[in-house]
Amino acid sequence: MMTNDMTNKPDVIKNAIDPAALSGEAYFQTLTGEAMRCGYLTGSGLERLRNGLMSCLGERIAYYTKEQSSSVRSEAAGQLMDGIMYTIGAELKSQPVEIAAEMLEKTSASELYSKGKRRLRVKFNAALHIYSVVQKTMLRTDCRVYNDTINDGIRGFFEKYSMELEPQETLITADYPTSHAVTDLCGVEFIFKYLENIYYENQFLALFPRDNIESLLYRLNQRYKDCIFNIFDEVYIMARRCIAAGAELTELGYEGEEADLPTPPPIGIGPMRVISELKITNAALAEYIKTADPKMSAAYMRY
Amino acid sequence: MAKNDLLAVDEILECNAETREYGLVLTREEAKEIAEARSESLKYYGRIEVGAGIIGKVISVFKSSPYIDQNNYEATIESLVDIFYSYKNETSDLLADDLILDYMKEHFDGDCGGSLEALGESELNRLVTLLHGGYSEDDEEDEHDDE
Repeated sequence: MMTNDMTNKPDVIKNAIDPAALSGEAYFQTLTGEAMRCGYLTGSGLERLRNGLMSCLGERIAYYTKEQSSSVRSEAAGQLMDGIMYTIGAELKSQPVEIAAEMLEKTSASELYSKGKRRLRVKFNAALHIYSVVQKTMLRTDCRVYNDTINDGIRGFFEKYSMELEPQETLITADYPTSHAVTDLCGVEFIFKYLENIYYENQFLALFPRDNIESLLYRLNQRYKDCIFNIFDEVYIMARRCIAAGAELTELGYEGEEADLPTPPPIGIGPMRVISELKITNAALAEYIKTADPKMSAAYMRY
Repeated sequence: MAKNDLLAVDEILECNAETREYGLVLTREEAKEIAEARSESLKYYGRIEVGAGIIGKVISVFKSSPYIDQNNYEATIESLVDIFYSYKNETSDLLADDLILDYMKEHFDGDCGGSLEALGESELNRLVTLLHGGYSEDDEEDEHDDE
């Protein structure tokens, strides 16, 4: 058996952690399971981790009750513990998965928790910054869900979010669907990703005259103001149709389009063509459009 | 024994220093009994507590009660802790621990005459009624029925 020269302890052969087994929402819990399975976390390490979590819980209970109560109902304790694990997960996510698995064995829960809290604070501030940019670059539209979600919903999140007590809560439903659906995230991690998507979509929509967008949406559905749909998707699809029809794509319409609408847009016109025609040089925006395209190709079937 | 209970035992034994002058002392075995009974109560009332939690405070508040002596000390503390959690639940966690303990002590030594049964039932009901603005839960149900 191989031995470690420094400690004379046998080297433990570790299995590879399966990334597919890790959940974005419950990262700590799933990584702990994988770390146990793969030999990164020992039984005594797990016991230490569990005791550390209980100490963190004791501190959270004191904070939650303003030190007025030594105990809380199980449901409240469960919520607080979910928040602790979510916060630790934020720190673990920032590391390569094998390093994160080793941290579960070697780093105390309270240290992981306080580092995770710092990371969440940074993410919260970054989300707040993106939000201010998103508000400035909003499409002027009558689409109610778009306006309500960005103006009221997201603001509500920032007003109510509690990093101390329930950082894992997303708090709002974010009814406006982005082209890339945000899945497997919650709390401020969800809001950050969601706002990032809106930010790219706003950048794209800003390349088209506002009246042309509104006119397109009206032609697609006269009751569009009250419908729940993604504006970016509709504009992108029409831009492809315009290119195929030899029309100016920023017009978002062309002679005889009614006959084309029930059919999918031509396959030959892909995202690269749209990016090129619109002279998009922002690599991140170009990537967003490219990765949105396959999903929309499937959605064309509804036309 | 669970880690949480072990922590509690040590903290309970530390209370002996302040209760000795009242003739009240707990052995390690008795402290274990109290810690385990506390765990049962927490489970029963669906509550979570870390460390010794409320036990030390219960001991500290009730050590001067004329109705507690060395013979009934351990059993009374166990009951008082249990009653305390029922107060927490019934008052929907609206009252701070210290407030509840002061209320319990005042009535245990006063109207209840040292009766744990009275403290856990009639006095609790009275407190809940007070919190509901003078109405008991039964009264409220009657009102809803009338509507």
